[in-house]
Amino acid sequence: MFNFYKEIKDKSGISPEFLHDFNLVNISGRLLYVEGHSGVSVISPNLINFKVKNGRVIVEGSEFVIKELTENTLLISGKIAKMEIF
Amino acid sequence: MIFKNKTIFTIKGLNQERGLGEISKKITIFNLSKEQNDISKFEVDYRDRKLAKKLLEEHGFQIISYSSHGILFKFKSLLFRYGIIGGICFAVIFYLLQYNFILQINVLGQPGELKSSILTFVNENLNSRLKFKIDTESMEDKIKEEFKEVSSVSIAIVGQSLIINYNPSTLPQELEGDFSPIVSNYDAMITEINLTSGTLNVRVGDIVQKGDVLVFPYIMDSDGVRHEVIAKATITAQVWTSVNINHYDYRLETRRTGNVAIDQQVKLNDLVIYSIKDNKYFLEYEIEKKSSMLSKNLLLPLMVEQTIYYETVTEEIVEPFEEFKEEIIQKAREKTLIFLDKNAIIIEENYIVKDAGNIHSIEYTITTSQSIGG
Repeated sequence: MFNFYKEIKDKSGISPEFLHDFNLVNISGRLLYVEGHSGVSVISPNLINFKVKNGRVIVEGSEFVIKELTENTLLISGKIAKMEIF
Repeated sequence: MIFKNKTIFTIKGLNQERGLGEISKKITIFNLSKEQNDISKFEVDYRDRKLAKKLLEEHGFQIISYSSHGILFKFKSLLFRYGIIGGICFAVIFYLLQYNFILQINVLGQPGELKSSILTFVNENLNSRLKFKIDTESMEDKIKEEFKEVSSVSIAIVGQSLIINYNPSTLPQELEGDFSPIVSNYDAMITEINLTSGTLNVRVGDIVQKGDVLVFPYIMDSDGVRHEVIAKATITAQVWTSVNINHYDYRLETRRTGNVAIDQQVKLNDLVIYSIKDNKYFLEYEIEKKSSMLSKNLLLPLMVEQTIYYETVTEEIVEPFEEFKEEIIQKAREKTLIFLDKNAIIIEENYIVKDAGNIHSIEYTITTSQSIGG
């Protein structure tokens, strides 16, 4: 999958230490694109939990399906109700 | 989408998130969803299906279902299935086609010249190898016509073989073959006759010479009709084998001394172009001449001629007969034995000495009992 966030970061000129090593894109509450995850911990139709650098992300909602899962990208489809980063 | 080639897995097992996370490092997982707490369903690219299966098994997941979709899968599946069907169809068609042909010709009968002749004849006269084009009855007639020594023949098509079964003519042994008389091989006196077939020309006690007819190759029936048969009999006779040797009390014998003189000439046709002579002169000598071309490949016909002179001496040999008598008789016996047949039984041996001055003639005779008909 095309890593457009890395492209934006490279062009922004902001010091990399101010930028997280992961990126999340929520598209209309129906799709969640994750870049830089470190592994999925929980998968269920209502909750998906995955690790990121120095933390963890919990996505709650319903009808969750992981449309694509690679080593560091994740595309979740479903009705996203809530997303928390710890 | 039909064009997307994918394989759908449904797996069961604990700690699936961890396992799938590990698998996703090597292959991309699509449409992952949890059906139940311990059952998940996902897709992988059709090309990654084998690796995915292997990884799932390595992580201890139970694969509940496994199905492939997409045009590539369909194509491979069709190729595999129709390949087998096509192969079977091809094999059936090939079998049906070749089943109509005769592949081998078997001739049943006693091995021999007749059998091989019939096989060759059939091979040459078979118009077609197609079963339905072979007229077995016509072929049977042809064989009977061609081979007079065949009394009956039957031809059958069995599977892909043409079986030819023939029976040779069953003439009595004495009525077939070469009708020639039995003639004596020796000068002999007949001692015993065992006639099998034919008509005798001699009786016991008759003295016959080499070449005399012993048994004629025919029999006469009670009506006086002559029937040809193979002359067959065992005729035993006393045979005398003699050898004559002469002995001289006094004789001159010439032998070579070993001294040799060689003259050589090289000639072009008859013209001597080179000559070399050995300067040795002998009082008595024997001459031997040899000639050979100097080289086979020469255009010029150069010939080398050798004249070899062997020096000889003549010696006087004195061997009184009485002193060498036993030795000479033994020599005569050995010479006579050479002419005896292997199966001859020696009955008697004797010799006669005839003296004529310096010359003594020994005639050694061995009388044997042996079969003389040949």
